[in-house]
Amino acid sequence: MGGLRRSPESSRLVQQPVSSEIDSLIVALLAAEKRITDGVGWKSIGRADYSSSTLRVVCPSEPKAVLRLVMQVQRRNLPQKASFNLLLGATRIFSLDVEPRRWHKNRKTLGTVGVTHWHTWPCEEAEPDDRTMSHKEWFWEFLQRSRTTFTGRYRKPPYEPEQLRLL
Amino acid sequence: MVGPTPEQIKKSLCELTFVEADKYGFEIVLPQIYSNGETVVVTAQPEGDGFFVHDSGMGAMALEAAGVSTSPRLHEEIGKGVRAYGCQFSQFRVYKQCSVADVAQTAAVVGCASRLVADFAFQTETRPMFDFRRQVVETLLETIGADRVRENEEVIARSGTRYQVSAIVLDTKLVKPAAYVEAVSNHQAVARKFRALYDMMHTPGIAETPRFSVFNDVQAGISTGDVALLKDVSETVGFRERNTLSQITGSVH
Repeated sequence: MGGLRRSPESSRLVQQPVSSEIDSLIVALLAAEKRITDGVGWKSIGRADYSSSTLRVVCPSEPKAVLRLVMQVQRRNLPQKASFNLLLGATRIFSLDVEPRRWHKNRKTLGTVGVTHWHTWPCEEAEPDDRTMSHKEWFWEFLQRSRTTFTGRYRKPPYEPEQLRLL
Repeated sequence: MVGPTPEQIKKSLCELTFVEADKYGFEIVLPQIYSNGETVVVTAQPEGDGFFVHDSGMGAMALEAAGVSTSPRLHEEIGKGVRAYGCQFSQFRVYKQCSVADVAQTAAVVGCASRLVADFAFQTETRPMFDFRRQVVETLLETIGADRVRENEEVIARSGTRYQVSAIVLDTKLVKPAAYVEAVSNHQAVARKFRALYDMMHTPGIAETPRFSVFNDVQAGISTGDVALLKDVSETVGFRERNTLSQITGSVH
């Protein structure tokens, strides 16, 4: 097995571990080095409003984990909305919402965040970030924060003309 | 109990609703949220004598952000649900046309249908957190030893087809295969794995070597019928928590 620190009970992973095992595994996965070798490819066909790109994420110390980075952009609306979601299976474990259309409602406190924000596992609270950056800059920021190295080719999102000035 | 009055609750609810004119028409923020915490927002665009109200694909974005692959079949199922709200679903966008007088009501309905799209994430088969084949292979590596296990080995069967077998366990002299092991992660994989095992079963030289189908015994939709099929071409082993695959290790030692 790899170098993740987990309790002996969790040394053998199962399809759907109990919640405490998932928690400790996710914390370990977030702290571990990860890598993406795929290039960014935007899928727009059949989507009137948005494009998405899914990249496989490999965690060498936990190769059984099915990790993906799902990126989305709204092509038409201003301000530029984009999201970056690191998923373990179907579970969001780390994410960034850039320029949300309105507010994010925190489930725990019911407070609202209306600017760019980060979610870290268990993703119940949004951490605001009031910086303004290009998609590429947010992408690199996301990779850095999630301890992921990227060796693929980055491609700009296919924004429609009114958004070009934001690139 | 001293509590809010109906008027106060209504006022609070109304404060959650927000309408702003933009270049397309009106952006309408509704007192609803997607399960990811995002507020439901719809756009009302003037069109002819009425309005074209849509969700800008926000429901589908929330669905895809939850890791759901939107296949044509799922698209069709979503469409059925959306139509139950009197709306349409096309190009991953929920929309409904209405008269000027019906904009508010239509916005509420489109918002509900958009949430329905996002909530399909809870109805579709959950994508596993762990790669099933790797779980099986790593268990074999732990119990039998890395020197005797080969991953993803290619086998050319009688039909001429090349198969990547999940794992081959070598004999103790590390000379020839002692068992072929296929990891069957879900119902969809059964037909493909059956074909491979059937083909290998009729391949001279390897037909006598034991074949094992290790199937996912946890929430994978593998039916008793699937297992019966796999049994025709291999020995089946259900894999779940803390399974040591002793059936395989016992037969290759």
